[in-house]
Amino acid sequence: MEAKTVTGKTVEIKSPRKSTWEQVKRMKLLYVMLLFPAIMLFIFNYLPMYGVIIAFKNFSPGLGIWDSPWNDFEHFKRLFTDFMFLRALKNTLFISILKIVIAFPAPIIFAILLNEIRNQKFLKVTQSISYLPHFMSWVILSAMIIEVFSPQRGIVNFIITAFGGDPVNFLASKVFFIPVLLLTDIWKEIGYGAIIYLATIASIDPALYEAAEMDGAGRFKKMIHITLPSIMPMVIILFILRLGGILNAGFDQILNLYNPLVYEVADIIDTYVYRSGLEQFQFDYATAVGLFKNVIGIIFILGANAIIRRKSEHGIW
Amino acid sequence: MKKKFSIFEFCLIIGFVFFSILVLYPFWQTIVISFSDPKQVSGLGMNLWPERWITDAYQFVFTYGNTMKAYANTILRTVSGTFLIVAFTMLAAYPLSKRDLPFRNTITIFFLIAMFFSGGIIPDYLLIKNLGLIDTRWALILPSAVNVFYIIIMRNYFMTIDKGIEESAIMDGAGYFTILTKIILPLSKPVIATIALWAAVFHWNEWFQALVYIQDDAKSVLQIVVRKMLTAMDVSQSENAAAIGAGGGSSKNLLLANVRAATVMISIGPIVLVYPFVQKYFIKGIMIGSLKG
Amino acid sequence: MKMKKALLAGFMATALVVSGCGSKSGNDKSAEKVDVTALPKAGDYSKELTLKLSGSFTRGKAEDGSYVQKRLEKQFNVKIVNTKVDTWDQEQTNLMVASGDLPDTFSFTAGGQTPQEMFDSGLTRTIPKEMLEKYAPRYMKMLEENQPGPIMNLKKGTDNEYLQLVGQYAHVDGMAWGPTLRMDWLEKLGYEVPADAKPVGPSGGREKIFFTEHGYTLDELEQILKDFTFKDPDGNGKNDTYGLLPSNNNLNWAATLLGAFQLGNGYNFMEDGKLVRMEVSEQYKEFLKTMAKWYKEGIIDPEFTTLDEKLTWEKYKTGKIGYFIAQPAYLAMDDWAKGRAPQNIVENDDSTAKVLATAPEIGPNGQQGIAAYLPVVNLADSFYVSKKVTDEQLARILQIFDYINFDNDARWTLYGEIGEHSDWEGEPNKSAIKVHPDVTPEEGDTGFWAYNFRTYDKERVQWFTSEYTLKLKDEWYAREDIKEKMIIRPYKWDLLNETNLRELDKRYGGQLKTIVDEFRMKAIVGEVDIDKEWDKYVDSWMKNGGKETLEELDKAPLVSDLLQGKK
Repeated sequence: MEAKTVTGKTVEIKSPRKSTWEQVKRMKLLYVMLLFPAIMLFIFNYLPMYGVIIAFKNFSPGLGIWDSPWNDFEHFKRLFTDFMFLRALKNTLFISILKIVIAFPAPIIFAILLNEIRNQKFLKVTQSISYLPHFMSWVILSAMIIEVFSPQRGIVNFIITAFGGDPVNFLASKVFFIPVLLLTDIWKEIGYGAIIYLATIASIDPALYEAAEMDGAGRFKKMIHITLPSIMPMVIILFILRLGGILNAGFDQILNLYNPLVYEVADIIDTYVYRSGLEQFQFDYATAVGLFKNVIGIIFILGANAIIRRKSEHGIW
Repeated sequence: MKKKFSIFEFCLIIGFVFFSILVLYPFWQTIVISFSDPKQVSGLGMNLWPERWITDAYQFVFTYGNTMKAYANTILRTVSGTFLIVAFTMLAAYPLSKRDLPFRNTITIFFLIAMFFSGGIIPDYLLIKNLGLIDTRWALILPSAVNVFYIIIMRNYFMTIDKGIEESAIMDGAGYFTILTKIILPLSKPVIATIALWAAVFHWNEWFQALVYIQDDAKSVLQIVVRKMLTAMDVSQSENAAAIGAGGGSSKNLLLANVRAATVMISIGPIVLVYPFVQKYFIKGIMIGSLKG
Repeated sequence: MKMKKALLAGFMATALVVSGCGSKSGNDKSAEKVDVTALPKAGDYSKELTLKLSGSFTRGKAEDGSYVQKRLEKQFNVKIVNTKVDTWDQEQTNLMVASGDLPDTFSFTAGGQTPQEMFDSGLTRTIPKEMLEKYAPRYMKMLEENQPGPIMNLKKGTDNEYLQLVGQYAHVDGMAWGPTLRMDWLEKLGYEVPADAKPVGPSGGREKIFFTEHGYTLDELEQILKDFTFKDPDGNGKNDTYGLLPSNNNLNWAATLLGAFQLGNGYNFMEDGKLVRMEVSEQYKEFLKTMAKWYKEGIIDPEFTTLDEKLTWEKYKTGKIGYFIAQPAYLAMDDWAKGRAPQNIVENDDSTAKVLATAPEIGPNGQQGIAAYLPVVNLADSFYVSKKVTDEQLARILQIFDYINFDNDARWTLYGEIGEHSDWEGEPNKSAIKVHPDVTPEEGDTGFWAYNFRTYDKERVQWFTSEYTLKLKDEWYAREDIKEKMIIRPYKWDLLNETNLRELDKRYGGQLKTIVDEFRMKAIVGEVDIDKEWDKYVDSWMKNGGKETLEELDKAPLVSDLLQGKK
């Protein structure tokens, strides 16, 4: 087929169809490589996927998935007419977006700053300590957090009263609960989350820094012009993937820290479903909610990916 | 190298020290509680140093059930599981990182869909059962071997590697597999190490699949033993626990604060001890050798 | 592009179809009349049968060939196949059911279903009354003695086919909770301790826990709590003590306080000629106003909003709280209750604290009491028989069941033989039984508890209850006249599952609970003006499923009728 080049000349281009199959043949080893994970995926992810229809059924373990009766979208109808659920949805979005805006960049900044430390020993020790809270469950951490923010014994209020202020019951306050949530989330995950960025930074060619040094670039110039752009692709892809979990606002954390006084701002989809589903163990309802969350997540991912694709080529595809 | 004292770096160091204390606190508190006398420990307040160092909790924990066997099982599972995950991730990420791979988008979508839609535990369980994998170690490492999230991360990382190196290797006649192992792999050590770390942490902490797929006590993993200890007599407060089960010597100790803390320590402990050995892969410095020359 | 999409679609369709295999087929609903006379006589074990048994305590740890298993197999001429799944784990049992692997007998509920639903979905079979009369006479006797036992759990439309067997809960008889006050604080503040106060036991901390039949009025209690809060009862010079510490995740702390308003959590009663549920009644409003008043006065610890029950125990242990609720077993310092308030404060030998357990508080209208643990009768729990079990097998199963659970000679299935595996803690036949330390107390190689159902008559309760707890219960918490006077039961109750209440609860339970929990907490801390917001709150409750729930509740039978065995 023919095409016009920039200068106006007409050029002959090989038919795409023919060269596609030639490409495939040339790259056949790559397809063989793909075959292994693809087969595993098919077996372990696609075969059980039919279970998604539980969301559309009144599931009875005795009848099994296929014979349980259809539920006429009952769960989805229920979700959207339940004003408590809608409140939970609003809270979920709010908290999740807040976390993405504030808690997502935290490990990035941490990694970049840590990278500035020249003393290797200090760097290594700090990094080794930083990830520790990630391994402790919210069940354990929440007891300590409640202590630290306690209006009677907590350090935070101790400092506040030392400056002449009144003690605040942070975890019972609609105003302060969310900030505490954010703060503790960052504290728990910043160290572990920074590892991937540290790894990316570690792969930057040191020659780039040396060249910049010779050009007279200072610390901050190097950060902005070398380090930051080098980790951007990783940041972008992690950001897009993070959006897939937009409706996951931190179930474990909130469940262990919240109380009825802050339900208005902190009751998220998962905690609400937990309180209403678990006691009656409604499997099908839980599946419906999970499906809903994932579908919304996909929409966000596709949206973000489309926007990012216009600016750079570092999308999901 | 010029050693210039920088105020900026000084502030950073102060900040990091402060941060490290904050971050070390829960870990330290748990250690202290695990070595304390439960009667003197309080769930409230800070426990910064035990009144007396008591090893009762650890003695109990190591003799309860088969903790040592569970450790061995967990290590086996983690090592093999991590290896599988890293292998499969690379096998999928490398081809998908080539923009000129025909049908690339379709295949990517095939992988992506699997990340979002899952049938839930009942179809998963039925599948494992139909494959005859119930009560086998394979059930713990095969279903998780392909992780689309990791594949995408690694794929995008591969995409940032300078194509020139690959192209010259192709022109020299190298096959894709050789390129992957001899060129790409060495250049991607930090990212591969990160994914290996994520995979290892996943397998180390994973308990649900182990709970549901493994019935033979001999194959039990650490987290299951830990869970058993933590939930054994965790009775709903409004019920008379005697109603739930027989009294009996073993259950007495399980609710004590120091035992609970000890169980946390035995499951985190190994990770903390092993990590310094793998840390070097994440820190700048390892790459200098492999890139020069 | 289109071709690729088609490929993908066809791919997934195939996957769906292929994976669909392995589903469960439906249930066979044909009901056959059982001919009881054709079955062997009771005691005839001539034919060897294989049975897959499990019970209330099966956690998958029973070893094959255990002591109990061997002995039962010999006694009843059966081969027992053990269940390897932890039946306390909901996920595991749901998976077991979904993959079609039920034991012949089991005591768990799959997927939160009612007994009728379990039967309808083909999991269980019915147990004919005639078979029970022939093969499980002791069980039938227990049912008769606990009305309306014989009419509970009947299959819809029959009066002689049971969907499940039910257990006797003699161990929850009587008042489940009672209020306690710090006695050393009372003494320090110059209060006169009731003359009949006596210690719960001689040692181990029990000598510091006292008990009296005297009850304080709410007004008196309020004054005591005020003194506890403001008069520095622990003498440390700081104003850091409180009277009352509620918890943020359940209403146990208010068990008797609610009773002082004649309220029981989750129960209903007639108010002004209408049927109301506790949470929307005028009496509950009065309760909330009292709590709000106390909070405003400062006698309720404001930290309660962030502390769950476990953390409140910890706080009590630090010695800053004066009032706390306790089960009789806590007062008697039973092993399993270690670490719980209020006994945790005397666990330390150096502690100078003393605890006084009193009668429930007396409310503004002279009411005193506490909600019954079980609303109508002390029967609970479910014992199911799998659909696959034949009548012949059922006959044998029922005989084993009747023996190990209702014949108290079968004590060996729980504790082995006295002397060999276990010993009486105190006086033989009058105290608890303790298993030797080197013997596996549950399942394992002994097989103790592996096949039993959770059902206890008074004698069995004794086996696992400490003598001090038994004493407390006999003398007060479960004394007949006290039970008469203090136990609060609901007015109506759907004991026989005749209404749609379960469905409604599934549908609206979460919303309603959220509305109630939020309002209660806000009311107590003063964030809402109870008088101003009450109507709006009740309205919201009604609109979000409450109205339907009350209407359905109205169709349920009267508890007073049920207690006489009538519907």
